[in-house]
Amino acid sequence: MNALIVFALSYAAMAAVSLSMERHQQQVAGRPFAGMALRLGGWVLLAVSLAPAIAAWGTSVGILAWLGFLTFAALATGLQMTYAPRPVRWTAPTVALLGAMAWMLA
Amino acid sequence: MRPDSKPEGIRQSMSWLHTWTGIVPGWLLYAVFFTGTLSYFLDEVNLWMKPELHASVPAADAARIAAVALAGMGKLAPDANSWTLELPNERQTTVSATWRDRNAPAGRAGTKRAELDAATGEKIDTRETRGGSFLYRFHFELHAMDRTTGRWIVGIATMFMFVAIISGVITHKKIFAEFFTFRPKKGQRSWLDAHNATAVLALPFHIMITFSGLLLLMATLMPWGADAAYDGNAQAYNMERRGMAPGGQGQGQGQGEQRNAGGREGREGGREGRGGRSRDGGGEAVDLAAAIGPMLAQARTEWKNGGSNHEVGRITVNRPNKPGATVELRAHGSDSLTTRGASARLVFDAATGKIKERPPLPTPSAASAFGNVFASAHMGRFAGPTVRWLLFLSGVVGTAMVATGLVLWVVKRAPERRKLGRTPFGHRLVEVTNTGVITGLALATGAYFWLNRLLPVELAERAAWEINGFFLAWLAALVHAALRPARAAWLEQCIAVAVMFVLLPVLNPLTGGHGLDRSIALGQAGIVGFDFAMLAIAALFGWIARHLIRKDRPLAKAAPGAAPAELTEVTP
Repeated sequence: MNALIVFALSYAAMAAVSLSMERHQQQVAGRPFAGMALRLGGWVLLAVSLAPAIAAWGTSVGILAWLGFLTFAALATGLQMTYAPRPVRWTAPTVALLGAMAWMLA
Repeated sequence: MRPDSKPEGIRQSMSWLHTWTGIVPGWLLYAVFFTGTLSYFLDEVNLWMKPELHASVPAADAARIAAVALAGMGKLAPDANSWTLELPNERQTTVSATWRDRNAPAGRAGTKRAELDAATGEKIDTRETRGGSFLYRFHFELHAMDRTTGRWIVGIATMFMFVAIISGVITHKKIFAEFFTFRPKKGQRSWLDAHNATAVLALPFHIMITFSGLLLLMATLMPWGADAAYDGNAQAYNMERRGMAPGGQGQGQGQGEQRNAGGREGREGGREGRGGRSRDGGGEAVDLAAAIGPMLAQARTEWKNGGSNHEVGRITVNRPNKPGATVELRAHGSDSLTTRGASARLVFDAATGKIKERPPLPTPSAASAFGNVFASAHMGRFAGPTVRWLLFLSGVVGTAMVATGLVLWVVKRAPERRKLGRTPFGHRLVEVTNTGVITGLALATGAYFWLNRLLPVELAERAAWEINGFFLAWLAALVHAALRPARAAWLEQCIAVAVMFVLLPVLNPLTGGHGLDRSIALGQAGIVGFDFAMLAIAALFGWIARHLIRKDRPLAKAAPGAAPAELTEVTP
C-alpha cells in the first residue's frame, strides 16, 4: 500500500513537472502555456511524496525507496509522453487524488 | 581530438572521455551489472538451484518450526559448542543451520552447515552446486583468478564507470531538458534517447551503486591507510570499524566474536548460577524444544513494544545441552541502513527462560554510518520485498543503460561505415563482442540454470561443471556472433534466450522442484518469484526478437545494422 501511495504521488509530480515543459505542453494541449505553477507544484509534490516513504520504511531505507520510486515514476511519465500523452490530463490528477486518499486512510 | 585541430570545448572533450571510458570496460560493466542485478535475488536463486529444498514446507507457527529444528539439531550435532538457526522466511523454505564443534578450528573453516526440513527437522541432502553465489561472486571478483586480481579489475572498471557517469552528465547537458523524451523508431536518435533515459532516470541509483561499489572494494584497492594504522592487521581494523573491541566483548556483530563472547558468558553463568553443581554431573540439559516457544513470544512482544513488527529471524544457542546454555534471538530485518542491517537481539537464559541481556544496537561513528548506508543500499541485505524489487528493477535499468550505450557505439558509426563501403575491423570487433556479451551472457546464465538440473547428481565436481558450462555457453555465443551477420546473430541469440528461459518453469517440476502450481498453492514466494522472473526475461528477449524480425522486412534492402543516420548535437 505504501509503495502504491509513494508511486502515485511521485508519478503525478513527475507528470506535472513534464507539463511545465513546452515540448510536452505541445503534445498534450497542442499549444504552449504558462507552466510555472505546474513546475512548482510538481517539485513540491515530489518532496511531499518523501513523507509516506519515510513513514513506511524509516529515514534511511525510506529515502532509498523514494529515490527508486522517482526513477520509475519518471519512466512511467516518459513512456506516457511517448505513447499516450493526451490522457495525462486526467490520469495524473486521478492518480494523485487516489494516492492522497489512500494516504489519509492509511 | 578534433580532426580539424580546432580547440575543443569542454563538452567535446567530455564526449570523447565518455565514449572511451564507456566502451573499453563496457562489456565487463555489463557483466557486473547483469550478474549483480540477479544477485538481489541470491537466496531465491540458491533455493531454485537446490530443488531438494522445495519439499520443505514450513508450518505457519514459528514456535513449532523452531522446536522441531532444535530437536533435529539435538540429533545432528549434540556436542556442538553452538548452533545457529536461520528460520524460514519469504525467501527461504528451510531452516538453515550452522554449528561449531567443540574443537573446531577458528573462522569459517570450523563452521558446519546443513539445511533442515522446516516441518520435520531432518537434514536435507542437496545436490552439489555453487548456486547463485557463483553469479554473486563473479560480479565483484570474476572467476578463475586470484580474488584480489579479480577485485582490482572490477574496481578499475567501476572507476571508469564513475568517470563515464560524470562525463556523460556534462556531455549530454540536454538530457535534463529532455528528461521525459523518447523518440522511438528513429535509429540512432532512439538509441541515444534510450541510453539517456535509462542513465538519467536512474541517476541516483547509478551514482549510489558505483560509489558504494568502490567503497566496498576500498579495502582491496586502497589498503595502505588501514595497513599503516593497524600495522597490517586487517582483522583488528575490521573489528574496530564495526565498533567491536578486539577482545570480542562489546557489541559484537561478527559472528565468530559473538559466539566467543557468548561462550565465555555461558561458562561463567554455569559456574555461578548452578551453585557449584558439578559439571560432569550431567547438569540438567534444558529441553530447548519446549522452552523456545515462550522465548519467541517474549521477543515478539518486546520488539512490538519497541515499535517494530519484527519476527525472530535467527536463533543462536550457546552451549546447547549443557548447563548455563544461552539462547540468543535476533530479529528478521532492521529499520536503518546506518547500522549495516544490524538487527535487534535478545539473550535468554535457557534454563529459566528469562531475558538475560538486551544487547544494544551498535551506534556507528559518523564515518561508519556513512559507509554503512552505502554498503547496505548496494547489497540490499535486509531489504524488504518492496525495496528489494526497487533495487532489482533499478539494476535492470542500469544493465539496459550499459547495453544501449554499447549498441549506440556501433549505431553511431554506421554512416562512417557506409561511406567507407566496408566494415573496419574495430567496428566489427565491437559489434561481435556486443552480441556475444549482451545476449551471450543471458545465454550463459540460462545454460547454468539448465545444467543445474540436467547434470547427474552424482557427477564428480558437479558444481565446477555447472560453472564450466556457463563459460562454454558464453564462448559459444561469442563464436556464433563472430560467424553470423550482426542482425542474424542478435535475432538467433535472442530467440535462444527466450526459449531457454520460458522453459525453465517447465523444467523445474520435471527435475525435482516444485512447479508453479504447487509453489503457488503452498505459498512458496521464493520459488514463485524465480519462475516469474525467468518468464519476464524470456518475454523481454522475445520482444526484442519480434522487434528485430519486424524491422527486417522494410529494411531488408538497406545495409544490415545501418539505421537511418541522424547526426546528433553531441557528435564532435
